[in-house]
Amino acid sequence: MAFEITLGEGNAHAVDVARHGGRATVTIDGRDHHAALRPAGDGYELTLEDRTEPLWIVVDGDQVLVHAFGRSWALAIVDPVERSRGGGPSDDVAAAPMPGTVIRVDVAPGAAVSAGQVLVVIESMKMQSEITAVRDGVVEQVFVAVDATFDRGAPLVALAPLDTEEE
Amino acid sequence: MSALPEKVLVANRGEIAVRIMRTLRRMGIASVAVYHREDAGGRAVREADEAVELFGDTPVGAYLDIEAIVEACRSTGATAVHPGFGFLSENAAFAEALAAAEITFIGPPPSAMRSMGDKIESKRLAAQAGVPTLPGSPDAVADVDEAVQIAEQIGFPVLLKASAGGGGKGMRIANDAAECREAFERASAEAAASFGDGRVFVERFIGRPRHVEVQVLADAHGTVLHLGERECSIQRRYQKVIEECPSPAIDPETREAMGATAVALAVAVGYVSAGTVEMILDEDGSFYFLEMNTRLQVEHPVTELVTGIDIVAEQVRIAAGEPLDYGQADVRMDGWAIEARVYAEDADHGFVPAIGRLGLVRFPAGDGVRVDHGVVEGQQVSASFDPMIAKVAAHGATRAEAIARLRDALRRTVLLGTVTNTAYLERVLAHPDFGAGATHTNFLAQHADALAAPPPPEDVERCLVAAAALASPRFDARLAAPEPLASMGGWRN
Repeated sequence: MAFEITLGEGNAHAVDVARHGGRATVTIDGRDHHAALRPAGDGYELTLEDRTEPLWIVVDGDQVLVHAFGRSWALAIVDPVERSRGGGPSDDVAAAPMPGTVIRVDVAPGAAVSAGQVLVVIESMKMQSEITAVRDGVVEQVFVAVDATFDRGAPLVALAPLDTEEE
Repeated sequence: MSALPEKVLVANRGEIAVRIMRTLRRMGIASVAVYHREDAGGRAVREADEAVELFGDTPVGAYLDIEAIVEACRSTGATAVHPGFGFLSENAAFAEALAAAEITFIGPPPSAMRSMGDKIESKRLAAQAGVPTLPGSPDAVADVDEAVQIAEQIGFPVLLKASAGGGGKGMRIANDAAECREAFERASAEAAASFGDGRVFVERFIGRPRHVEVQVLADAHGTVLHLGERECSIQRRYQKVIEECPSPAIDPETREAMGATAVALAVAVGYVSAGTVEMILDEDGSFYFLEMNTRLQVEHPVTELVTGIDIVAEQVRIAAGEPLDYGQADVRMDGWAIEARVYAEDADHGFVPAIGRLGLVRFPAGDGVRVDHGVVEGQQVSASFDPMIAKVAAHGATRAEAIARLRDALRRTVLLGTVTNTAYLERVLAHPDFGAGATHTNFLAQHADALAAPPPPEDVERCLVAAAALASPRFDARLAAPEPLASMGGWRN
């Protein structure tokens, strides 16, 4: 059974690894590749079939950060079994795109909002940005108040789930 | 003439604190760092001979605590303070508080800081000194009606600017009277909220301006000279991103004329120390005063690379009362230098600031490459401070060589653990219009599509996926004999 590896926001690739000593066979989307990863200089060297590339790697849980080809890349490893157990993200919650401070809150629980309507205004790194509703709906909960600080990904405003919503 | 100080406190953090300490060390001067808890493990604290912790309601607030910094000077015996840029560097009250404690402020006199710190007053003084200024309101506009009236006299589009503003804050462009009304309200409200000063003025808006600035050095004995210009047109939301010295748009005659006006302004305000006169260069070659920054600039390295002059060392000597021991004719400009600001931000997703722990840090070195940075491996990049984490600069005999070297240096800048703009910076440098010197302050917005990240080629993606698979312990977890990444060294040619 393979894991899925995704580069940035690209498509998921089914990947499996079979090691034979220092070498390995990496199977990507059903195709086998002879590969090896070994320390070189102050980083690593990847050999894939007949090409060799220098790279630097940081593994952080299921996120693998790679610097190669002159830039950095983020890859995510997903276990399809684990994913099928958990729920995915929803667009019911407007989350903070970056850490910052709340400047203004425009809505209260119970308010009807339409897609694109400003929910809160945040400030981050000296810049103000508007957090807007991704769809029409009714505000269920406002998680933050003016002057509150938050981290990236923090929930700001939740809309009532569509199936329980009243028109 | 007084002697150089024996110990200098650096009232700043990050790369600029490290950069200042390097020069102090070279001059045989001990350095004192001040730091907030978040920076305790930072490079500036390691670089300093001593360090004093500052406390504040916020991390930034700690670096703004004048009383605590004066006390840190007393407790460590530092007799001078270098403020770097940002924080207290343009705070006249800070300079005065240091003077009252008989501590030398390595910077200009408070009077010059005050007059140049106010956009309206500085424009008036610039005009008096013979520096061309943009047509606009001579003073802060009284209300929204006056703003519209003046805008109609100057002709649209106009720029509304907060008097106390900076870094693009409180700046709005208006194309007609209705936009002018809205822009006035927003600029004024933003300025009042940010600076406690809601005064706004109106001036002509130039469509394709270049940002060109002149570096000035003035000693306390009346010698004032300039170190040529820097062009900083590559900006995003009025924040500089790439700077170069010299400007591809300036010929020797214009350099002379701009330099002379910058020197005239410095003389007029009794300027002492290093300062920068920022100007707007129009396509027809005319230039107008923008503002004077009474401090070291972020982008000073490009001038240092081209002139060979250590601007921080000059500031320290000037503050100690030493005269400049060379004249304008001795200032030589050799080759070309370009600097790129490395920000922790996601250029592919609206430039949102990024955070994260820097798990791996590798900076490039090589011919003509200069890196100013303040980070250490393992450090947390937080949202508490400015997102700039390093400046990568390259010097070459020609502009093309500087571009090639800087592109290569950026490709070799490894900062894993957060998201940075290095790939974006390299795409900007690779753009044919940048190569041709066709730069202006709307460059990044105009070329936004061309500068977007291209999708990775299939073979690149395959390599990256294979590398991730081989590096991840996930695949090893199912093996009878797991093989940690570190053990792969055995398979060496």
